[in-house]
Amino acid sequence: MKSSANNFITRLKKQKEDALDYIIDEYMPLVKTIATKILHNMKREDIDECINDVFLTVWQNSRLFQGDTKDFKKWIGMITKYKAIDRYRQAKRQIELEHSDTLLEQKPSIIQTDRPVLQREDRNEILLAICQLDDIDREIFIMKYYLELPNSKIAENLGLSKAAVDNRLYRGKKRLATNTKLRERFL
Amino acid sequence: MSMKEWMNIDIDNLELLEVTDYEKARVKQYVLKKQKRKPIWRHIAVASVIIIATGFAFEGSSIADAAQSLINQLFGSKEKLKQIYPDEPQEEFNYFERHIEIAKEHLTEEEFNNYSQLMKEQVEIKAKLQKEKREPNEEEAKRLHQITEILRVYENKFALIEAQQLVSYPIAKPSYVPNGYNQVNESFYLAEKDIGEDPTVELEYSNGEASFSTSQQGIAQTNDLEYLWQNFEESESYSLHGFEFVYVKSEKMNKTGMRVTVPEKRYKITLIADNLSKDEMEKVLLSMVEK
Repeated sequence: MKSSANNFITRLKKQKEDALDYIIDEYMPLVKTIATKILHNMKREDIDECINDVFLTVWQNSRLFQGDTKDFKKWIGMITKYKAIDRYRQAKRQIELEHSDTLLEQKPSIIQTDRPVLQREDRNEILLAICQLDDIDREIFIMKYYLELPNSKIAENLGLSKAAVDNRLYRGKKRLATNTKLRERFL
Repeated sequence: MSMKEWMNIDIDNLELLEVTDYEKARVKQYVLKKQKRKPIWRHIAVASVIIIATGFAFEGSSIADAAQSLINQLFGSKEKLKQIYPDEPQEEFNYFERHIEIAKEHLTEEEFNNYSQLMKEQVEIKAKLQKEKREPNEEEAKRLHQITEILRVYENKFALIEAQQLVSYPIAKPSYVPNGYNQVNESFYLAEKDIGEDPTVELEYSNGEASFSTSQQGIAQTNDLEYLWQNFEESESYSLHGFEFVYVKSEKMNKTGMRVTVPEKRYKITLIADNLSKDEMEKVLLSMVEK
């Protein structure tokens, strides 16, 4: 049996290789376009690695996806967008570190040592959970945990009050904490 | 593009970039390669503890009887196990009898007792979760992870022996490895998609920056490597020390590769490298086939 628009989601969840072929054929132009837009000033290898990472995440986590073809496009689009943004931020931070002459001489401040560093697995886990939130909450969580922006800056970007951002983060954390693996992170 | 614009990308109204067949092949290769990090016997042991009465390999033999009896003893009836693992593909079940037998044969009595008790505990947790229709809680998840890690230590003791029993060709390991490279995967991996055929045995080496892998498989067999193999732009076939070699090179992928075929033993080995010279690849492959 081959994957088609009607059955690829089911076959993907069953880890059928033809479903992987199908999503690469159908969605790689979208993934490549989004990744290239966000990472346009980075190296070609960074864009390629980002694309690889998106398809690996989708393949390994397909069981978590719920919805139809239209939802799938939205899902893979979101994963690409946030993975590309994440990669951009990490690369930018690396460049900043490399260019900081004084950094090596400084001891880390309490703020630096306390800052939560998301490991790769955690980032994936959180990204997939965040994809289930509604649009505004999702953006707030991405800005908070992927872009590491302060709540006041998030509020400014989204045209919300800081209190509204605080509340939405609080409610969102409670919701995401129903996932046992994320409980420790958020509560 | 500003961050705000990134956040607001409208995925339905983008002018999409073109994607070449080579790019698609590269992504597929990457995903499938990552997927294979789990050796097949581990997958079976964890996920597919079901025994099918008509296992093709040992059907009706004393080994089958012994394995069946052992499994009944450890996990209760096979019907019970079928209920616990209702979705497992049948082809994988046949491997499990062999797995248990090999474990019994190659572990000490004490090791096997520990090993089988851990498996039993794993199945019991799975059965409980299924009965209560829920995901594992934190404590259960931690224990399952712990069990998996200990099982892996035991399984590494007989992984090569097990792999050898699953394939019809002699498994080869290089006696020559380029300076600075070490084997990074200590186990022998079999691609899950090869179930029902001779599995592919993969070894991976790295020097910290670059890596290379060897994939040994039946002579007529194909696997996901072919997608990558077909995308090398340059190819050269030649004979060396009585063996048929193919050397491939790709500037686009920044990789080189080499395949040696051993017709009398019905296998071939494909080497894919980030950064190895033709000479080095020949030495590695010759050290595998010249025995």
